[in-house]
Amino acid sequence: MLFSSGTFIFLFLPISLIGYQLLSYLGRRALLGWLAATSLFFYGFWNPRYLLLLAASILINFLFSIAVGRESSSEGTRGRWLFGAVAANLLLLGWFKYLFPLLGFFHYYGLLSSDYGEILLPLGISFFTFTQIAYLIDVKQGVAKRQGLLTYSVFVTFFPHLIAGPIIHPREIMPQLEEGRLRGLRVDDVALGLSWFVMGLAKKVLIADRVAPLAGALYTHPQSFGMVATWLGALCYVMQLYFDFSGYSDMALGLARMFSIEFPFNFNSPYKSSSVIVFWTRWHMTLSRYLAEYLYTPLLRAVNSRRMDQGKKVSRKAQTTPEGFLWMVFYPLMTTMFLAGVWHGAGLQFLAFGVFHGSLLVINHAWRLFTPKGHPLHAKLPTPAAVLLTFAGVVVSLVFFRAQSVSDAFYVLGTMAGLHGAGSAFVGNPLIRAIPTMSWFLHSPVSASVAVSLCFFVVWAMPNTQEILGQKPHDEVRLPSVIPNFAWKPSAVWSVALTILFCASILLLDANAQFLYFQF
Amino acid sequence: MVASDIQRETNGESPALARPDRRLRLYLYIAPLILVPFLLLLFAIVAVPTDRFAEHSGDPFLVTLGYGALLHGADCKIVIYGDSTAMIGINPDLIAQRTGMTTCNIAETEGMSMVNGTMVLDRFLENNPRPKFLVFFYGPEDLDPESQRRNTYVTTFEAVTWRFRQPHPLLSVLALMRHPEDFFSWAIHGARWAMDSVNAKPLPPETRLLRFKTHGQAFLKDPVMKDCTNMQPPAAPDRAWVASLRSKYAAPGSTVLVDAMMMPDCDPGIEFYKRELAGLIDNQIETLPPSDFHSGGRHATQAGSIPLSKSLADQILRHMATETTTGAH
Repeated sequence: MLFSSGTFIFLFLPISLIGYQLLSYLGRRALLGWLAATSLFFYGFWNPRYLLLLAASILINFLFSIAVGRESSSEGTRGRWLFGAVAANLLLLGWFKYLFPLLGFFHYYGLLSSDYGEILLPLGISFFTFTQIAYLIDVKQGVAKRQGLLTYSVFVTFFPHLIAGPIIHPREIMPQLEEGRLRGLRVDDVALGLSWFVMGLAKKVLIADRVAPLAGALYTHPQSFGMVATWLGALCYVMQLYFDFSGYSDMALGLARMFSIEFPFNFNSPYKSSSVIVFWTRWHMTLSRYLAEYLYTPLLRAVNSRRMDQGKKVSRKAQTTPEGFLWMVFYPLMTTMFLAGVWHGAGLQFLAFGVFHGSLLVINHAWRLFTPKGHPLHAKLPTPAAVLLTFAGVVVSLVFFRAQSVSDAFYVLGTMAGLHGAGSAFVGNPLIRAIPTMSWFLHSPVSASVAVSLCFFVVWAMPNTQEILGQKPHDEVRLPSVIPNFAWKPSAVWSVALTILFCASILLLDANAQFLYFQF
Repeated sequence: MVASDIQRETNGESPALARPDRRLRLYLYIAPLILVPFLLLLFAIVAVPTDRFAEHSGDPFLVTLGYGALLHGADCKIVIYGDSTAMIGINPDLIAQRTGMTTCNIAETEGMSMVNGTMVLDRFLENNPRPKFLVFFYGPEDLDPESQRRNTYVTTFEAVTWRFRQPHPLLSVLALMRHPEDFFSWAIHGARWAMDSVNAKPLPPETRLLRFKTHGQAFLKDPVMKDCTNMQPPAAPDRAWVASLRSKYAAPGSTVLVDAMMMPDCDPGIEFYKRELAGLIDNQIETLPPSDFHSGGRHATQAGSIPLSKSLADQILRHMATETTTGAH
């Protein structure tokens, strides 16, 4: 079930909320039971067969968590259980997500005679696998308390984050599920959560889905597009991905908030970033945090401890030596980003996306290390130029991310660079003429450019959702915007404005429009 | 901000509940956000099934919906019911000419089978004499109507609209909750369409009579098929569903036939359907050149309609001959 579907908005969500409120009189276990039941229904609505897979994954990981967290066991035994549990989870993920595409790849290049076909990827498998691995590691490290099966099931399946995140930590959610914290609906949280949901839905339906057709047409037939159309199509995709995924995350945060449960932020105006390092702290923030905590940091720690054993320094200065840079910057970063790319899928284009971003991060770290604060070169790169440069890097990387193959990606980049000349005209292109009338403005290069410019205005000049909703921590400053004091409050004006936005979004709902991150 | 922040701000306690006056303000804030979207659904239920909307929608199929259910005391010795391949492809006049029996084509779109089953046919049978031949005629993939829920070319809009034109709309809502997405897609799309069509020019009044003039055959203006690219993936038939058609409508003096539509000769699914439908249907999978189909490869053009209708007429004649022989014995 999609958050942006009539069935969800008009049926599932109201029933979930009403049931939650009614059961609040029966206590915490009833509420947890209701959240687990509704979440499993939400998942099973897509494909009931995979409900069994999800249930089995939860049960087996729950049993693993008992073994991993058993205090009477030795550290070594618990470590072995953790290793086995993580391996089992990765095997499951590998089977569904990587094995068949890999076999298909070998078959395509004649390395395998049989074609093993494809297998339907269970929705959200990457997300619920990562969530559970985090829990097991946290239990092993004593960061998370071991929970009962019901609480654990809600932690894994709670429908706002089940399919496409945010990837949550047990330490964030478990305390909110404890006795005394779950107590039915609170009107202030429902008001805030509903507003958040509406803003996310509007981002998805009014922006992402509207610019999507040009991007879809470009990446389906890259050879049929000239330079102008390719640039516009590539920029449409950059905007589509941001508004789609950040819209989804806003909806997820808003939905959780309606139940008075708080999720971590997943986006923080990433296109305003002035460096790739900053970009990764603002884009898919919970994945970045996950990779940093469970991959990058352990790798760096291992490198540092080996260096210390060898009597080598691990200071910032040591990072500026070629050998130190290679082991303390290049190696952990490239490994992490390589795996971040692979996490998105089995295609070579995802690998290229990861490696490209890894390279950008390495260059960015080199800049940071070799031109410290106050360096004369910094004056030559003012912040707006740095933002543009970062954005350009993101545009190139997302060409790999979206293209159907690496060769398609290079073709698109070649067209953007003018290597294929001006190419075919924008107007008259049958693929552009076939764009649905709901995205009529994409039929002409002028109106398409205006639409993309409006998207740029929103991402560069407007505050983001959590800033508008006043949800940023008080000690964090708001990012620059043209309306820095624009703030939501539960007033009549906001009610009318968001009702209009909600109705407009509902009227433009498209039953066939999926969320982009569902495929991961 | 997450739980830790709440704890920090409230010294470990849950946040305090809103004060009564603030709560009232919050309720007033939420009310339109919740109620107005539901009013959109109500608007669709009220506006979309109306004649005015059908006439201003620009869609002739909406005006002629449920043709078979509108007939009373019609003399139809042969009745064809099925999906849009029958509605567009079967020429009742040609069959009548060839068999000498009056023929009515009361087929509807595939969405009608998916949403309303055979309600239109049942309504026809309530108000008209039982036909001598009742032919169920479907595109080969539509012999499992549920499989077409995955087919994005199949729309249920007309079917849900027809359902809401029937008495007791509340019962219709409840019935549609078996596949709630049918109802919500219809309501959302319908509300938007109804708003768009407020100032649209109405269809000419004779549109309403189109199917009456042709004894039920409807026509498409789609382009002619060029090749067999982008064909829908084959779907195995639902044998129980086909059997239920035969058993439900079997009656003395009435022959029930279940047929499948002809296919373009370049269709990659031909062998699949020949194999899957052998013994299940009463005709055989036959082919026509792509030029006899509209794009999509399932709806016959007016030229393609001729061999298709002749083939069905000949099948009925063969049945009649067999029945005569059997009767003689």
